[in-house]
Amino acid sequence: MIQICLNCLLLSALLLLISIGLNIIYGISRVVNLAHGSLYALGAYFGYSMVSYGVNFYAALLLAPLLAGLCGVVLERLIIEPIRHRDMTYTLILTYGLSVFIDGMFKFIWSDKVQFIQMPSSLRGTLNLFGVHYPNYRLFVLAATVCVILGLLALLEKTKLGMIMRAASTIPEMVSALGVNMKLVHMGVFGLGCVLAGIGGVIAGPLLSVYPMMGSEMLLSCFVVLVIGGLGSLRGAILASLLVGTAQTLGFVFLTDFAMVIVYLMMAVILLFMPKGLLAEGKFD
Amino acid sequence: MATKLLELEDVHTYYGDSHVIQGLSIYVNKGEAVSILGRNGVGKTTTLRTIAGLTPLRRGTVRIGGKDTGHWPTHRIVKETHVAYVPAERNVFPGLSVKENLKIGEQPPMNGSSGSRWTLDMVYEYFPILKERHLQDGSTLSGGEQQMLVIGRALMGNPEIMLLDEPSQGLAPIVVAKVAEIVKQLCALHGLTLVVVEQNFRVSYKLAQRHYLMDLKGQIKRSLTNEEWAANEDIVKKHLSIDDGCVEKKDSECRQVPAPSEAPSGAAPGGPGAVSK
Amino acid sequence: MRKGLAVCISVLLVLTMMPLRPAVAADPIKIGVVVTLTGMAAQLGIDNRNGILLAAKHKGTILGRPIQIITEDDEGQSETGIRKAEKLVFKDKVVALSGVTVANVGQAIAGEADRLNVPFLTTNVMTPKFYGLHPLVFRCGQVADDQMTVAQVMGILKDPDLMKRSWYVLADDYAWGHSCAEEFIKLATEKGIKIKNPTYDNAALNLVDWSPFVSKIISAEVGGVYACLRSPVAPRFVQQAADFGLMEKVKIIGGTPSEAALEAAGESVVGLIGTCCWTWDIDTPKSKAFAEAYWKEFKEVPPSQGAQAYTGAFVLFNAIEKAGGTDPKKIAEALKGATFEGPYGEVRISPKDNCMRTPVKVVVAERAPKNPFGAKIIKKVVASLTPEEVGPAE
Repeated sequence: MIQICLNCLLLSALLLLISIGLNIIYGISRVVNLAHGSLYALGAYFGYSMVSYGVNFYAALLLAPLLAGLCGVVLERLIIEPIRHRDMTYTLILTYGLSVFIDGMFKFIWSDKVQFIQMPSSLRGTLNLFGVHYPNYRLFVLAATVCVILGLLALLEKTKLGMIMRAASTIPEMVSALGVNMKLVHMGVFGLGCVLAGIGGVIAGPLLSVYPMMGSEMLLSCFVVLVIGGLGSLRGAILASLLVGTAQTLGFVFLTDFAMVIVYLMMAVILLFMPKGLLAEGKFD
Repeated sequence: MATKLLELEDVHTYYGDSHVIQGLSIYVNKGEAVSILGRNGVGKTTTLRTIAGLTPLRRGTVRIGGKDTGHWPTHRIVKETHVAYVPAERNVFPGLSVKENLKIGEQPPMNGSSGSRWTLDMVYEYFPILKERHLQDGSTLSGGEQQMLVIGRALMGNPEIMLLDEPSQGLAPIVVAKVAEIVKQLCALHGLTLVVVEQNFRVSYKLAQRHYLMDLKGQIKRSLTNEEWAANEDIVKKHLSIDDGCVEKKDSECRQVPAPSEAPSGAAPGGPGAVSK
Repeated sequence: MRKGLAVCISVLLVLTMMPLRPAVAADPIKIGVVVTLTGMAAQLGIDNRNGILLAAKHKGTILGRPIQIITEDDEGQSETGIRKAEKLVFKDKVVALSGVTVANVGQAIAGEADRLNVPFLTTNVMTPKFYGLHPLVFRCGQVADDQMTVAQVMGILKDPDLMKRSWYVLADDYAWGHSCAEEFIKLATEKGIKIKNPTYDNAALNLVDWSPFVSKIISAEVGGVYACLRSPVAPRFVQQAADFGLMEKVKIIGGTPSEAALEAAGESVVGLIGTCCWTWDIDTPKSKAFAEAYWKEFKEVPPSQGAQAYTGAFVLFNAIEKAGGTDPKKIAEALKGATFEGPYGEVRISPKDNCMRTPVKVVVAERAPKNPFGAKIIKKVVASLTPEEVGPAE
């Protein structure tokens, strides 16, 4: 029972880590970034390369996401910023193309093989929790996710930067009329989203393996989380990840064949009665 | 001669394809309070937005403090010339507390600025109600409180010029009077330069010393001082076409712009009728 | 800035579109190879292609003419596979098609056999549907699903420890997984092997977190797991099961992942039981020679799929030689009953159903002894099965 609960939490944590960046980018900059999955994969690949060259796993967990974030910033400046003021369809098509391009680049640089990021030996083995053995690494993933989310909340709630980000999600024009360079905000937010995706990638690496399509495969689940939780709502994303992660895990335990059906059914029902998701779009909180 | 802090010369602005402002030229001296009067849709708000760089300038020049800011991005104009734009829709940030709504406007004063530096406490002194509600979500405040909040937010940036768009919009007369009183004090005590756009021209009269009468497409028909206005109330009245305007307008809007002479003298501090005592 | 980027992208596009034209002497024998080089199955596709390239190199010439291998990527899609096969046959004028990594592409191309009208010998498609499918369609190299299932059941029967255990069955949720699980359950029950969940569990194809199944297996208190999972997915399941400490109590049998996938997963796959035709553990001169040649050519751990494709391609080359030309019917005739002594012993194409009969090994993933390939994991042979044991009967 404890094991099943932890399993639910773990899947929720992974979904949350990856979808949260997507959510922040949409919430603040109103960009639906279809390349987000690819940036998650990019973080995983950076992490994989670092760890296989002997970099400490924890150092890679810090550095690889930053590198992914840097790539995100460059992409934002070069590709998204010039078409920001056009219709959303442009960014959709462009970021989709970008994801295809990045996924293709993985093949060139890292080949099409399925790889694993080597787990640090300190996180191998299992921990006895009230008579149930649970893998240390999974517990680490849970703890790390909680830290990341708390850190993010602190950034958003306690700092001037967070204040600006929250304000920018509602009335961006007024934020620039207060002397803030919105271009920098958009760039920073995109970078932050990519850092979060990168953290997800490195953390998932030892568990879910690393391969070129890993991001694009994950993107669909992220959008389910986003749509259920309400586009651009941080609390909604947390709630929705828990819902989707739990429904999927329990589904596999008790209903096996219908687990995925349940998730999509849940999405359909929620959209039918709450078309904007559980916590509706609007201000980013 | 007083120095011109803000100067617009032959300004042309578009919204998409529509040529909203066609050759506007106005100026505002340092420390002066100026109002722009005109009917709905003549381009008053667009003028303020153009100064703040929110609506792009197509032709002409905008000079603030001697700097040619016409094609600067908004954030640069605000940072380097300390223009504070207070829009008619107020734009209180929902999801931010009152205190956060004030803090987000915080900016160091301009180099060589004489005025004292604005702090949260100073803003609270002017608007005690904001201190009372500092933890409340800004968007849950009443209209008047929101207006105070956005003026406070503008002050936190230590502005040199304040662009005030329709401060009385949607407010009860008693609240309008209070807001107008505070703004008047601010200008007097802090040497703030003010450009105000108002439907309620009693407020304009009270706040500003000089008035531009704006007609369609941003054309300035004439400019007049308070003394000239008091002497020729009809000019303003005719300009705003109050009588025939009411045929098109909703009743509530009409009541906000009573002719100065009709205003009850006691309840209309600062109206031309009250001034000419 | 944008202009610069556009130029860069265009240059890249042009570069990738430029056909590779190796300088080849006049009038080569052209063989078309369709493999999956994109997506999850890409590693298998690469191993297949490499095996065929190595076979062409070793064969040298057919009837005095050089061999030209033209490779196309089907991206794992049936539609793409057919398009690429058409391009190879009608534009490049290949005399035979080979390779093919995944079943859906194999079936799609086989379905067009009449129109394509060249012999098609797959080196990796495992579906039993290929038995006697079409006079021009053959399988040689990889065993069929039914042969694999038989080998796996035989593997259990031959080991008293495995025989004692009760088994939990887990399958990928699509046609192949279903038939694989059902076949195993049917055969195992006949042989007296205990199956814990005769209705078996289906795992969604895009499943990333296997913990729900691991938890179910732990609480079912079984001694073994039979996993019909695709080769690229299996290590992920095994790795996660190992995290939970499952490998210490439970034996896992399944289709063995590729060597590259085992290397990537590392230590945690130790103990995984599977079957294959070839592993570099096979200690015969031909096997050793193949392993060394593969390592020399590609600098990768010599893979099962490579040896299998190598074998299949060699059989095809020999048949063309025997046919004395490129007439499709004559090549097909020569393929029927063809035998070849390859890296894993003698394989034979049954004239009855055009599919291979071969010896099969039961293997266990173990920590590798010191080896020239730098491999950490070896597929250790624990039992050898004869072609007669594996079947099917002719």
